[in-house]
Amino acid sequence: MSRLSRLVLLPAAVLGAVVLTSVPALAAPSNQDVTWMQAAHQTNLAEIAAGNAAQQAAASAEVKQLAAMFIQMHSQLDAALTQAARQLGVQLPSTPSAAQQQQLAALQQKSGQAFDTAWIPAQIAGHETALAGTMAELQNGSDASVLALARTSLPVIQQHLNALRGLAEQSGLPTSVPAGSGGQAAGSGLPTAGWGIAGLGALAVLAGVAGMIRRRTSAA
Amino acid sequence: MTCLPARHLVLVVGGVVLLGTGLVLAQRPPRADAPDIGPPVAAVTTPAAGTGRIRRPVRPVPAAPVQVTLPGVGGPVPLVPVGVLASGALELPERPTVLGWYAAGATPGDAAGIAVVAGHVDSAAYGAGPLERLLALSLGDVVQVGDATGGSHAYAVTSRRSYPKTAGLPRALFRTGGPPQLALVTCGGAFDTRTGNYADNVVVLAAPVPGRAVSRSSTAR
Repeated sequence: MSRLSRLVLLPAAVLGAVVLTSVPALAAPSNQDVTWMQAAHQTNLAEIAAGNAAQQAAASAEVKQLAAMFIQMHSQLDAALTQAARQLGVQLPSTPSAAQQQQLAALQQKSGQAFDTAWIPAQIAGHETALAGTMAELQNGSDASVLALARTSLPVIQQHLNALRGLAEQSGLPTSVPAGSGGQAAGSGLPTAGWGIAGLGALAVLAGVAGMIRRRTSAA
Repeated sequence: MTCLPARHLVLVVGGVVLLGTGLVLAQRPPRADAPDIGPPVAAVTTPAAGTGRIRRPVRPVPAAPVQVTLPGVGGPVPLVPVGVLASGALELPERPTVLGWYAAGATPGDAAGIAVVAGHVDSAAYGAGPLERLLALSLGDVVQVGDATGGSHAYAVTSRRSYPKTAGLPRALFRTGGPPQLALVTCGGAFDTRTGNYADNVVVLAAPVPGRAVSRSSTAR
């Protein structure tokens, strides 16, 4: 139910942020404000893209449902952010970061259960980074309109993170960690030396037997 | 012929001895042993972190980890978030040169819980990887974890234990409460050349180094 109430409350909160940002800025936003706006915009773009990927490729209904919520909420957050950036004269990047794009590309190669297994941890990581950045903005930012946007974003990110952790819990704790298949770390010293010694022994036996046979035939 | 019969006999007998010894040695399974040091993974009786403590209104949280720097390894090793497969196995990146962070657990830099980072010690397809170093780390060696906003979290090695895979890993390894720790997990012990599996998991635990955590999330991204 809290998910539903947030869905209803978010547009109102976003509207509040938009109203705040429509007041002309008295001073230029700080570097921290600009950095956060750019990062938050890239996060929104990445979350929307990952959400769309989930609509295409996810196996579970819960993942698809969560992805739909991400698309909707990050679109709303981004609309307010983009408008504030225009008013403050802040240039926003047009694509997700290189790392986010790389993660998206890796996700887009998967489908079904494998997609879900990769999507959940990728989204946890993305939202944790967004949460850290937004908290840093709330602590160190200066522009009132940007701070208002950060305040609006924080509970949304936290809610997404909680929902993701809930989904991850359903997979249970790892019961095994298969973390080696080559044997290189075990070294092949002993077996290799063993085969070497055995080969040497075989040669010696052959030489000895051959010598004995030759001796016997020459004696005969 | 000038060869004495005794010389041939010595060759045959010596050869048989060498052949036998060699075959015995060759049949021994290769091993990647790492001696245990320090205490094993301990369960924590207190349920979660932060209970009973005064919570500041805005508590800084670490961003997701992106790389690990291990002593004796040239550069930082990249890290990706990973989850649990339907089989219960932690899904690890195929290449031993990329490590996996168990994203549903604690995050490096968190105030509580064990942040678990795992990776292949080696691979039939790609060869050995940087986690080979785990088998030779010493107490006090410093491991650095870098996060997505440029922050750095330093941990010093407190223990290394081998856990037979037949018995499984302690559940406490994945705890999200209790004292903050970093766990580095890979494989070790006897290697079965037929199945391509190691017998053990090697777990290195490390504790935060006071004053060595650098949060850069306010200035960098």
